[in-house]
Amino acid sequence: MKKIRVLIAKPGLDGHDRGAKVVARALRDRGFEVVYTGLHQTPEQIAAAAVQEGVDAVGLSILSGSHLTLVPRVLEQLRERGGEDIPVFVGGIIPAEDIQTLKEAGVMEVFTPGSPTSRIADAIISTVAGE
Amino acid sequence: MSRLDDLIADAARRDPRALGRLSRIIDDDLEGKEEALRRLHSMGGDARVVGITGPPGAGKSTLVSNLIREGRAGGLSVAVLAVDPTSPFSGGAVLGDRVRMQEHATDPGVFIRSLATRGHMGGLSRSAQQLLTLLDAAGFDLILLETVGVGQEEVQVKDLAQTVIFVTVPGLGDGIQAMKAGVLEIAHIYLVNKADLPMAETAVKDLQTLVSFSPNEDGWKPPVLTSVATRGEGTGRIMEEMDRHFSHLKASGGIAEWRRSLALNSVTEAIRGVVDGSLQHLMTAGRKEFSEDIDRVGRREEDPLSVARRWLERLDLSRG
Repeated sequence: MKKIRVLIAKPGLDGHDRGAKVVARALRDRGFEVVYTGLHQTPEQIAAAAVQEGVDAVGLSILSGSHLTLVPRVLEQLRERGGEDIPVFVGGIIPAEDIQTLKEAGVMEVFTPGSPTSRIADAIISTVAGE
Repeated sequence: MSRLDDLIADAARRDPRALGRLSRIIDDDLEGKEEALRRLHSMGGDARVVGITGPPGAGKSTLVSNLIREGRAGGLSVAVLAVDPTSPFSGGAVLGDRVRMQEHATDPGVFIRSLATRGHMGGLSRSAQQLLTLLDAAGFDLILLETVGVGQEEVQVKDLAQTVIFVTVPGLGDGIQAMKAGVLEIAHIYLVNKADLPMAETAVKDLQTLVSFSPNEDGWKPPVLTSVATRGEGTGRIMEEMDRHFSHLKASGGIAEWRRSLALNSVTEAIRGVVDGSLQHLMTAGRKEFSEDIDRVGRREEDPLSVARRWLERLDLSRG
């Protein structure tokens, strides 16, 4: 039986992980196995953990405004560590004009405040199922 | 070479991507699992396996992180299996042990894999022993096996680990709790963590009493240690006692005994795995009929064992 396994991480310096925890909990309640790595993670730590944990997807929660720096570095680190096939989702305070930039860099989907957690779960399920 | 050959060759040189993928194949019963395990089993045999168990919040993950640091400082490669519980309602899990270990995430000599129990009783997952086979085949010097937060009866770790450390905290119970059977009997090292809290001395004394009552048939008297894991205090001493226990096992023939108990556990778990898998298959295929049988038992028209026997006769073990 293949479970959906995701890593939820908070890259960078912002210390607000309520959103990440709400998403982790909601995905758990949809039957996902959620590896949670906690606050203040470097892109290297996130990518290394994703590869070791063999996850189907990575979710990054960023509220600090540094998404245009951090997200591409996570994607690059995933490529470097053989995890280029792991889809990356981003959640947090992301200005509308940056969403397209992130998607062009390789992010599957971006969820801004107020996104229902069911939509996040559905997006991950359809991405993983479509692989 | 096939994909599986590549994965196994890469795993043998501790490539994290290959280990991550193989652990997925094993944990999720994916195609290639049996073939992989057959080959991995013949590759290993030298690992040193230390189990860490104790109640939720006692500081197991922080201790594991400290032991990784200590092991790395001594030049050992270290792998960790960290188990957290699966929700009985959704089947999902939040695996959070890694939070305490992330400082080691990018160390190429360290591999950490979080695991969910998926309904398995005993403090580990059904796949834990098989993942141990993988990590052993990969040649890690030290494998740390962190159980779920345990209560009294989750003792499977004793079959898989050579050395078991039981971590507790002050204030959890009196001397009578320490006399009860179960998980408190299985440890080779007792550790009172958060020893800066009040009642730490009482907890140590209760455990010392427990140790003084135990038969020590194998000639090992378990030490009772203290630590403040968040500050790294006490880790050096724990490592020393781990080494001392390992030497004791080697000298007393305990390693051979452990190999035998691991083999026994592996075979019985494999049998259970096949039977469970076949049963799942049968129940899914005969869902409607099964549900009607359950209703009949509920109405007391038939007893549970008779229904169970009828279903067992239909079990096709090649489906497991």
